[in-house]
Amino acid sequence: MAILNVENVSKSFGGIQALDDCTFTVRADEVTCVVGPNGAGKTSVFNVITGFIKPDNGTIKFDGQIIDGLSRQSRVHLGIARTFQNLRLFEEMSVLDNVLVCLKGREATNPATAIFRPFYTSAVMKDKRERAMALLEEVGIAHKANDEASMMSYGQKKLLSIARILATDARLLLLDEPTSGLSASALDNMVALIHRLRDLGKTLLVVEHNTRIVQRIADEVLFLHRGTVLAQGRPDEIINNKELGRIYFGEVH
Amino acid sequence: MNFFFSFLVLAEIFAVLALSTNLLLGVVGIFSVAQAAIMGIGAYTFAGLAIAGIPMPIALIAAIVLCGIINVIASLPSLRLAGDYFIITSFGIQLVATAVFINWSDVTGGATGLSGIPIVEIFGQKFVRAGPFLILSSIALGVVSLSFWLLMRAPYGRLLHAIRQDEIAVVAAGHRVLLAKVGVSAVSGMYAGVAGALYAAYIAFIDPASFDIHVSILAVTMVVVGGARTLAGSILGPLLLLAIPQLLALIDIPSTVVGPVRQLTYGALLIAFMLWRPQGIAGKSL
Repeated sequence: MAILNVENVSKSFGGIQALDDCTFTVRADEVTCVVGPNGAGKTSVFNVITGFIKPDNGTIKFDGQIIDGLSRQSRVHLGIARTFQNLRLFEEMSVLDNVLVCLKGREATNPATAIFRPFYTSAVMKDKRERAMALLEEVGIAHKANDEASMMSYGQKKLLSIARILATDARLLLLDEPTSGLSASALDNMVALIHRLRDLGKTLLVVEHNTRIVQRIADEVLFLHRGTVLAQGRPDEIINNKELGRIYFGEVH
Repeated sequence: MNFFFSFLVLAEIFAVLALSTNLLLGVVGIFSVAQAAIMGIGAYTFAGLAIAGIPMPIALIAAIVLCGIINVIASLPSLRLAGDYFIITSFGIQLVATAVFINWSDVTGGATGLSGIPIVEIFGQKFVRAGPFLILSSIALGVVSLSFWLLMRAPYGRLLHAIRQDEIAVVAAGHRVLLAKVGVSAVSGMYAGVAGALYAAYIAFIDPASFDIHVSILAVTMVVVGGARTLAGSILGPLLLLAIPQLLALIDIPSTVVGPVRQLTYGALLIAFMLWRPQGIAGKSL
């Protein structure tokens, strides 16, 4: 069953056509990988789905509902959350606080409640702390909870960025290059985490460059080129397609 | 002894102003050099109403509410402007406020100021001298400090820190940055209103120079020297910086150079802290 439908979405920045009549669907409870050469529009796809850029044309449906007019925040509340290529962690805050900020539920996030209902606020904080710790356990960095985010290794930072979007309780997770720059062991960790998230009932849309990793994690692959979906299918079909290979790796003479 | 109490009262009033500045500048990262203007609005509102015979608690509440509202309006450009540009905007707001204090003489008394502010009286007890007034200013600082501490420990405080570090990431987590900033601006304005009303009630005379750009910069210096983002910093900063003119008075220098020497000392302190201890005495780095 499709959880996300992107229909005829176009976006141009000045003379550059970032997305050109882009159409695809993402099925629920699967891992869909977005591949394509640099500048194919992979991050632009993330930006239009999450509302960070407004498309010139086209429609996006999440769970059957048109979300074109919704703010970025409303899309998160509906159940779409993303990570960023450059992670955008709150570097000066603790690992635990990074997750707490992103936790679903806006209780006690206004000054009046904080000042006039201190006991209620304390109860909310205790509950949130437990939920955040459970998420850090889930991604395997609970032992770092009280460290400052800036002190962590790159691999741990990537795991934290995933714990943060899990905190929003979203069903559709958009991961922008979760495995880039990871060591071999951190990479295995990440692949295992992606499998686990799918088993937990999350739907994942993942930008991934490495075709070997695509084969390990993807149920479905979208091949993007010049802002258009050239092909969508099972990993083997896409990766073994010689024509697509030529586009991806460049012409080989 | 009265001399020492008077110093403490002023330090406490400025600690309230420093907390107002700290919320914007230190915590959420809105660099405002207009907090003295907001304090001035609080002082003139309180003084004007008290002189008109309005009961003081009502005058105080009016000053607090008005300052909260005006600070929200004054901070609104920061929602569109990146950090550095807002300094210029707030500088403009400060200049406009001073011009209004000087020229709207029917209400503010103009450049000569506003005198005849009634003495605070509670249950027949008059708070004229610094000693008894210290009780009032301590209660005010206590309440403001407690609310600052409650804000900082709550999820709301964490959200404000997150906004300072990365607004985009806060939006991606589903939070409304605008709403959070409006809230913190309101609280910061209310603190400045408390400081203004206390100042007017204590000194019993206010003029535009009491709330000009130098005072705003002094508040920023207090936050930086004391330690941004911390409660202790906003109390230590005013204590230290207001002690400097008192110490200068002990040295035998001509009275005409006391003012410039004081400004020079503040400037030198600011530069020294930025170079060698940017996190301030009590603080975390800005």
